[in-house]
Amino acid sequence: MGNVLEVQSLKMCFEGLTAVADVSFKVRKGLIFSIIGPNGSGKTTILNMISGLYKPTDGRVIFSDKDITGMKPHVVGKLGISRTFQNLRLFNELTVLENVLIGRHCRLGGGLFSDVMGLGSKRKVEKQALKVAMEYLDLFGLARHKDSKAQSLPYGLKRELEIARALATEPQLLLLDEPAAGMNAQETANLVELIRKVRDYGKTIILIEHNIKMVMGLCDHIVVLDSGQKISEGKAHEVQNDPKVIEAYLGTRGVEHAFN
Amino acid sequence: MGEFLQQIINGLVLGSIYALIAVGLSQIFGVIRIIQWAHGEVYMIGAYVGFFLTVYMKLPYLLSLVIATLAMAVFGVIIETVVFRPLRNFPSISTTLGAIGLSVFLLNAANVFFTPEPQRFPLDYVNRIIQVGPLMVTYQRAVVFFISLLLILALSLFIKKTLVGKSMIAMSEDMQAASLMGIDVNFTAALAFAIGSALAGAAGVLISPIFLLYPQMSGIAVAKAFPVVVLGGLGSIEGAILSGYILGLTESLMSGYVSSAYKDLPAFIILILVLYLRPQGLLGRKIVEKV
Amino acid sequence: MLVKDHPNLKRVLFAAGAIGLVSVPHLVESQYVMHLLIMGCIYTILTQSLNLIAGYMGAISIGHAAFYGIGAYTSALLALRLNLPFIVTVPCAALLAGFAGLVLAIPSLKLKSSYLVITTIAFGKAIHLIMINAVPLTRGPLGLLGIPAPFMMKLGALQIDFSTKTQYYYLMMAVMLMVMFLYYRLIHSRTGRAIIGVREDEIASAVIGVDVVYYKILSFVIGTATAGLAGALYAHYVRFISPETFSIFESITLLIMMIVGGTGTFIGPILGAFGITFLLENLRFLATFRLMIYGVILFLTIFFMPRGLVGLFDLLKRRLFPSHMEEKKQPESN
Repeated sequence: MGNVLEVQSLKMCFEGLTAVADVSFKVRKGLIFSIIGPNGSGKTTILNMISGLYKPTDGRVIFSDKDITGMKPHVVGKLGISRTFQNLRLFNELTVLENVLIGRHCRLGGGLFSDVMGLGSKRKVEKQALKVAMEYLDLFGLARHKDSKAQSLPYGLKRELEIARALATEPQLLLLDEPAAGMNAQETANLVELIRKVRDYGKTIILIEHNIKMVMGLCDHIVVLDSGQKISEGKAHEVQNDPKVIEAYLGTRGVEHAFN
Repeated sequence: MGEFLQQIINGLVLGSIYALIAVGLSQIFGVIRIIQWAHGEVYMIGAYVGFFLTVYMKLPYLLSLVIATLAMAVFGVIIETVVFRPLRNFPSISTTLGAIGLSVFLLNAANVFFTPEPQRFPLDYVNRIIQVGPLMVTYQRAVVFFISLLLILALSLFIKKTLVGKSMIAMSEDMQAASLMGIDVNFTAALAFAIGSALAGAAGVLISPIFLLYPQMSGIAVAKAFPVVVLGGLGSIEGAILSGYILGLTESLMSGYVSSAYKDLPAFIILILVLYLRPQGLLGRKIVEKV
Repeated sequence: MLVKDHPNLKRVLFAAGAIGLVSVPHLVESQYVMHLLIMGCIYTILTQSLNLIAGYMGAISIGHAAFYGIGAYTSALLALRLNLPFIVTVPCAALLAGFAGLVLAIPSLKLKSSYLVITTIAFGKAIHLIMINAVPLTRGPLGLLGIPAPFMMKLGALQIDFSTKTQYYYLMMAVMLMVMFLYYRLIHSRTGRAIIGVREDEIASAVIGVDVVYYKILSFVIGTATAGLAGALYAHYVRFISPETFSIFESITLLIMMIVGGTGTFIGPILGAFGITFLLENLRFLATFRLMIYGVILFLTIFFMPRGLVGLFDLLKRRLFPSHMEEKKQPESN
């Protein structure tokens, strides 16, 4: 069908507060798809529902024609959806290499018995895992930091590490939650390049971002949320000129140059 | 009927003590997010201070109560400054273990200096009986109940009406925001410890004439105080008060009507039930982790 | 000059170490020191098992001695009442302790850490109370006497029944090394990494495909089963057990050993277990003050040596031998 992900009438309520109300959209394979909207509009909540961290109050999440609504996060991860977090969730005390190596977890076979017994085949698998992890580090230019604690990296590299770790799970769909937050212009440009490279590898990406310029330049399809509801959808220039979107961000006195 | 009322009275007395201990514990947690594992030892030491003042220094009982309470307030501040403040920025496991270390230290210090043998706290009028209609209450039990009520009331007023009290509430909501607003975290933490320890010390002095004094009583206090705090909701003063009386009454009725051998069971069962069914307790706030 | 760059040096050290360990009983004359060594081995196993749960997986457990006790009583009772041999009672002890861990873990591991601590303490106290009060089974405070020594082996004319300290030392050394070996394998594997990931960040681990609940329970059960194993070995060594040994105080001792050695490190438990065992013996002269010192040691270690002895050695190593490569930067006071 060409749709990697389909979200149907998603609704999320927390003890009286409706964070997301009836949001639906489809994500085509190989696209860089974006969800934007003012703070508190429910963007992260939608990612949490897709990745299994929240169970939707109502609605469905369909991934590659499979209903994954309410599935546990590790199951969703193994099925092929991976993500990064708004506030960075690295394994701070572990090294850069170890972070990515844990990312390989769901793609390595084996279990307790074979791990402890250390059978010959296990050793080969481990070597392979290490090799693949290093490849990801090379891709991101992180190889020379491989033995540094994740905590010690500069901020921009931390964000990249989180993406590298997410990629190590070999997802089909990558969810990025405000990856450019706190980045300067150069770091943001690097990030944009990175995201394009990832898309070129055949991944589909859903991006939440506040950096409107970045989104408009990068994304093929955009959904705009406000107060938990979808208020607009379409290509960059369509959304940019939608009066509803302008109003949501800036109030009724539209100030267009914010989008240029 | 008389029997029933008698058990109720016992339950209220017991509940007062539980409430006093639990309120301190809950409040300390509420304000600085620390579980004061040595709280039982504070209660126990308070009891010994009261004992010493009354029996050896021959001071009037109520005066000893006041002095001991104030002394334990000071003691609480000392503990906070020496043990908990240095660990404040350490990971929380360090604070837990530090508190446990303090508890081990204090308990064994008590064993060494006060001897492990139980002692009686001889007070003339402890068992003098007051008759109210069909009810018979011992004098001391009445003292316990009313003074506890007084202390609790004083605390509630303090928290709700004074600026300092309100700043404690602010700190319990968000420590970082509170300090940015100019609230002195160190002062407020010390105050929380002072109040909590004072209440625990008072509880110790109040109850020891009725029962015996021995270092291990700290463990019993903890064994009862924790289920109360958990039931009431960690951080909720109202919850601690309510739950203290609930447990006191339950235990009293249980030991009166079922069997006194199992009097410790309700506390244990309550703890298990609350932890597994409703960890936030009756009046605690449900903490939703932000992803 | 790093040891690991010289494989031959490694082999020599290994051989020297092995010879050293084997010859200890012949060099040590004091039965008392032998006793300490044996207890050191038992405590190493216990501490490493706690380290798996609290250090590697991050779940603070202050009731670990309960599983030590379950293992001891199970093995003792099976041997005394059913006359089962050591080779059967010990695995049963480990299994039962592991099962008890499972029963505790399933409802508890989802609790936030403050509540989990309360639960483990409550469990520890409950088991302790059962030991004291289930008199028909456990003989209560009187304890169990006359637990048989492990087993009899005939090697030609030699009869070994592990009833002497020398023989038990060899047995304990063998078991301890075996356990350490298996734990090493476990920790440095995919499973071990998953467990550590769970400790570092449950949510991040979950989204990258780690079944957090499974690994939490798995590490807990392995830890408690190992503690049960240690308990069984203890029972057949001292041949008399009573509830006193398995109180919350013992749980705190294990925590101290883990922290002093180095929480979440591999060799930390060995250092902590032997270190504290010998330290406590040397402090005997302080008699009743000994226990007070305990509390102080715990606090001082947490404050001054949060990474334990291993952390201390690491610090010294970096000060004395700064490496040419990019240094591992350590965050302050964490």
